[in-house]
Amino acid sequence: MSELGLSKCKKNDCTIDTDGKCLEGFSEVEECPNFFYNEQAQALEDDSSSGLLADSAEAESMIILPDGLGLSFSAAAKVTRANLTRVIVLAGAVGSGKTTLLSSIYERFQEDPFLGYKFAGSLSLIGFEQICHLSRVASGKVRPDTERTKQGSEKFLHLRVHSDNLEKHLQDLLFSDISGETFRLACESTEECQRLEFLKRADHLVLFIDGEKLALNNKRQEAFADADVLIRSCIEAGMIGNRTFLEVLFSKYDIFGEVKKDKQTAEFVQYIERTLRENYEDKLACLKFFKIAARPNQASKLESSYGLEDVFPFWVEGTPLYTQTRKYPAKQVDNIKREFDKYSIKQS
Amino acid sequence: MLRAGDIPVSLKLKEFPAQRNYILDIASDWVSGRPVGRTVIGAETEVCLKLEVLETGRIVETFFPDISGEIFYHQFAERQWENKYDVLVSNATGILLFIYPEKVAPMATISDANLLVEELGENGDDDSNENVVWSADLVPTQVQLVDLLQLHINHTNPTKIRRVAVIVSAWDTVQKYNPSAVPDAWLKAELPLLHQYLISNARQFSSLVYGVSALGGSLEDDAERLLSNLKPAERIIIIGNDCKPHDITAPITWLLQS
Repeated sequence: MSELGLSKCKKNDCTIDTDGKCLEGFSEVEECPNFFYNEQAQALEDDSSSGLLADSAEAESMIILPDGLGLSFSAAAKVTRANLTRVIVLAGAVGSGKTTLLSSIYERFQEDPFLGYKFAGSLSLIGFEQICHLSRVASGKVRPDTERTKQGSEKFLHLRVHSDNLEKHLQDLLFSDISGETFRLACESTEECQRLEFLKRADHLVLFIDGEKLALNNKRQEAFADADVLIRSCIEAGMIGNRTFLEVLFSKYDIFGEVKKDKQTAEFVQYIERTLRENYEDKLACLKFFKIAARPNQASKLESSYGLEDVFPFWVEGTPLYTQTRKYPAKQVDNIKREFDKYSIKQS
Repeated sequence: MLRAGDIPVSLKLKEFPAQRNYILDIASDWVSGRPVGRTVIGAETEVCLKLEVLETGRIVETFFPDISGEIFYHQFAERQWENKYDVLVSNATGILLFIYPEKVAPMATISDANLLVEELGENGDDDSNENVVWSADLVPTQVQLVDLLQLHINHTNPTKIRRVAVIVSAWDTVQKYNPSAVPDAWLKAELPLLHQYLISNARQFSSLVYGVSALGGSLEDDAERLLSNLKPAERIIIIGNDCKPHDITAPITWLLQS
């Protein structure tokens, strides 16, 4: 492995930094769990990743343009360095609705200004279009769906908005698109939790509790336990704390909200809220609860992105940055040498 | 129109371009009511005109690259452009963004389609095993346009591009169904994402929307009426920004004022 190579791999016999080929066969090298950037060369790559002349057998040289996909951690850091940015980390179990929420927000902007905000741009239009694909007629499906975020393909989707009255400045938003599997590992190990460095930079940690599971007797306790363990793991690992805004979203309200005759579900939701407040409210900057349905089923008659009318403006306008002075414990300051480090998943 | 000078316009052709066969050919097609051919890949050219802005007397040498529409799709899909195009973008001060209403591909969601099926009282299909992989050609038109604008405007920092004139072409086809249609309102209704993007970034660049029909109608259905005008320029339909009737130079004049 070359010390000067931009791309590095934990596997000694991988030649990614010489011929660009991943030993594990990943075509998108950043999806490989063994892959990481050489920090010494990272700044050079960041400055020159677009605008490069592409290797081409053709006479005309070509200029590479930004790919429009989700932003890598280093690219996300460039956005926050350049602009006032809200970092919104969506966390939760596999299938709890994280990516569906993102696609829902993006598609609402395609129809109209959304909840008092106008669309002002995005560095991730291709990325958004890809996550929306299975909800489109062109996918060939008859029921809308969302592709699961693969582990190892973590990224940020960028969105820029402007308040409807155009009086305020443009606001950049970075939404994490991270697999539920990553958060499951964070629940199981302090070390894994501490690898999620981006949690420290998050203005909002949004924790999804799967409403579909809440509606089932044999699933609801597990759904609550997943959420409770994740919060506790993050607090005890020092990744979130009194500088964190935590929003708990009970997703798929079109499913669990319909169980009107089942008082148990409604009571259990109240129990979750009560318990989480008792356990964590004093340890966080803010703890709020919302019920949402990003893509409600037709029978429910709920509007798309139901429940976001209070959440989305809070994401845009609210930040813990000005609630109290940031104080990092000494050991955390040493570990955060650069803005880039706040966005990485630390390689073990 | 610039050559004939028989309609009040805001620009004047100061002198004939040295190389003018291309522009004379397409002008000849237009005055004669023949379809003006589409620019194909590999046949791109650049039109250079020395123009005088009548309101101010300012003389401006303008360069209009005539580029195939397919090139822009390749830029979007392949995420790269030629070095010589890069030079054009780096020096551009304005953009004319053309939209052809009949080729606008909307966002079509399964949820909306199922609602329509339900309203029609039809039974929906069963779950399909079809799995169409995502590709760039499936992206709605307004997303492609926003992305292309971003690539051009964000290309240099700070950008030189100060004005974007949106041209909704074949405006006669829009007026056919809505005679009182207004270009900005049409854009807001049909391409809301693009409209929001233009409004939100007004501090960085200005934008105006024009409805333009260079032909004035359909040559297939209405050739006799269109070709009966003594002044061919009177066929032209242009609406937007209080421009003079038939003054198709108005968007260019506005761009030159940046």
